[in-house]
Amino acid sequence: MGVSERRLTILGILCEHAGAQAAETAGMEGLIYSPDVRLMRLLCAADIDHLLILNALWEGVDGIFVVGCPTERGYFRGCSELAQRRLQAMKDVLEVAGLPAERFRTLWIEASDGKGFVSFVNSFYEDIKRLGPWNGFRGKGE
Amino acid sequence: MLADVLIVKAKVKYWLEALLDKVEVIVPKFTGTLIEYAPFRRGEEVMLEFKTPVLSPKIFFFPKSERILKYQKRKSAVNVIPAPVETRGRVIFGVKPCDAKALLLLDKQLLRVGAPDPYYQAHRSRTTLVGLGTSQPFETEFSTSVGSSPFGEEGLDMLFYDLGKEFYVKVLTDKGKRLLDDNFTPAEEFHRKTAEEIKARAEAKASYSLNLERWQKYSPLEIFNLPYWSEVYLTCIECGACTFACPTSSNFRIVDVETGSEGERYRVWDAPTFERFAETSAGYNPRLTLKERFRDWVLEKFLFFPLEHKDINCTGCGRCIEVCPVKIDFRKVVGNVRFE
Amino acid sequence: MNELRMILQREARRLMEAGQVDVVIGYARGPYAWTTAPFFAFNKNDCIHLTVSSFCTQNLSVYLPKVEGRVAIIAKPCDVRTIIELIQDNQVRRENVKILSFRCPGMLNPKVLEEKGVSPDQAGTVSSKDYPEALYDWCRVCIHREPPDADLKGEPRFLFEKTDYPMPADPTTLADRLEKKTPAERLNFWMGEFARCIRCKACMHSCPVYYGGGDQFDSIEGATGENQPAENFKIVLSFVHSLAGKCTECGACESACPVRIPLLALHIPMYRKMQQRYGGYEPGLSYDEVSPLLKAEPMPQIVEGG
Repeated sequence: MGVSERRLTILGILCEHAGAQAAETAGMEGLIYSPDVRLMRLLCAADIDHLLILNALWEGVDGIFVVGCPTERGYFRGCSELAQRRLQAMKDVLEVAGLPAERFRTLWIEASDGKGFVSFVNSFYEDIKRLGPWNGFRGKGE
Repeated sequence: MLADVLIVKAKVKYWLEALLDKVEVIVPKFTGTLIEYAPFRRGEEVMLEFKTPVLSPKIFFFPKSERILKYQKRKSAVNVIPAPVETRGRVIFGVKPCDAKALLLLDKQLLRVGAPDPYYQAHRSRTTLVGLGTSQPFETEFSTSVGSSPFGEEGLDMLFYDLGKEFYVKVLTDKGKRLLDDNFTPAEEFHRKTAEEIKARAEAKASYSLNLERWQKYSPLEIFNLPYWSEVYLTCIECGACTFACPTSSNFRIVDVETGSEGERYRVWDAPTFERFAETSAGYNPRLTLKERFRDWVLEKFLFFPLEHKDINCTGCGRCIEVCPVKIDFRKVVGNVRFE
Repeated sequence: MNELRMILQREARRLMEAGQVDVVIGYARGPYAWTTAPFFAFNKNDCIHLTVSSFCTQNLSVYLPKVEGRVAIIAKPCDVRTIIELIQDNQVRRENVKILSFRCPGMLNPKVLEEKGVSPDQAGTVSSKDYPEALYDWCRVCIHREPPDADLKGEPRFLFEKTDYPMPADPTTLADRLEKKTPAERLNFWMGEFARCIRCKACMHSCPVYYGGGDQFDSIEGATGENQPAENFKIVLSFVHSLAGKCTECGACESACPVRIPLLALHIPMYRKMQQRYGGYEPGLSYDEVSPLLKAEPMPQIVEGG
């Protein structure tokens, strides 16, 4: 409740093909989302080192999302199916560990779907605002 | 010995609480799963009989990870800020005699003449070690075979002997003497005798013949090249638990954790069985095979260290066997060396 | 137990004499009661040391990729399943391995036995028939007490009659109890446990199907920093994640941990979730079925935008 004391940081991990292109499309169409959302571009959502997601959470990133290709239309054959399975398993791990799995979300869209991208990001941002900041584990004792 | 005294078991708690006014006090505690050394707080009960804690007091002098400096990279120079050394007084109660001797062996490794480790040194100076003779050793303890003892006095400032309702206490150094207060009463001849008997019984139990005299007949190079080393390493899974639990192991590496232009430098535990332990910054690895690394782990303690320091770098506490996931029996590895 | 021991020794000796294997990997008695140690028998005389008991917590298939030549291996059913996974992953060739397995009564926790006053002399014969309450959590949830594949031939494969495996009066596990807690309570529990972690690599190195090697403990991300319990927990969570769909709940990792962190209370809930999502998939049961996380097929449930 009330005004949060620091700005939120949302990390978006975008695959080179669908995710990054969708963000480009959104940019070209002039659609806006918060500057608190930082985007990161990797080759493929299936190939993410899952420590990246854990590290982000540990550093105190308030929300993390991954954007990949649509199901059955992945740029690399089978990439989004693999990514979906592995990232779902990561969500399960967060839940088993007692970590806030709701701060991690995935999106599977076409490269041309700038509107879909922005609508997802804005809605995720609102949800994270409601959840409040996440402090991660910096400075939590030995 | 500077003095010997008695303290009734019920009074140990009050003695430690009084010490809390001036110093930190560390005691063995059951923390739910294991017995560990942990800070003592007012009002708590003190464990006076316990099975040897799996982690030795080494962690209070040479912790798993210790920050040694901070740095900031500027345009033309690097600002280096060493971490402050800890000076607050500290008493560790319930130290196993062979762990105290282990600290003397660690001193030889970490307090080298001309280049002592300042953090380790500060921890050593600020700490008083109150020993408790080992009444419940690990099954695998073999301290008397390596010149140590469950009731040894080396490295301790005081040594407690459990006589049942009270402790007979030997005051061994001035540091120990400074801890005495009116909870202690003078000891009688009868107490001294009982204490000696307890010690003799414990020493008889903690014995296992390692046949180390046989090693004298061979040169270091001959021992190093024995075919025996090709057999004993096979079940090792290179986990490093033995090294980390070992009270005389001081293996470490230095790691920098950097963000932007600032960073922190840490000294962290390392183990000779890890693949990259001896890897140089050029990428060359002198011990590429597990056989070589396992041999190095054993020989560092029983051959190389004695060559330099005339002491075996092992106090026979038995933790290496206790923590080993594949239960390698290091007593047998060392005792059954086949010279052919 | 004695009968099973003899059956296994006899078969191991027979294989060595017939020149069918170069080494037998099995269990030998450990340095003290209630322990076993992995043992390599290179000739038929060494086979006398091979034993089996209710304390065989190590998963010996971890050695298969490291050993050359033809191997006979004594494996519990959960270990056989990891052998099958190693074969699926091309780490081991089926034709080089002779699997000597048995119907497993489950492994017992010596601490519980000691609390009940069981004497160490009984270590060679005590089994879950006598003390089901001493069963480890991972043996309590096990539904695969028979090996899916084995070579022990010409002899009865199984020690016990089918049906009626002993279970304790209260079969709940730590995983069950943690599931009932709130996320914050669970997280707090794990942070407390990982304060003990010493960053050895025992858990990861004792797992036959984890290929990550434990190097993360040496890396910049994980090795240092003020937040040690949190850092250690993070590394182990990446280990748990890598094992999703492959872990056979053999318990080797938890048994290996020198500071007794209850790792299976992370693996068991992941196994259950994978089961729910992927139609009851059981890791390592067949040579043709691989882990759902290795399959580039749509998920059985659509998960989009969350």
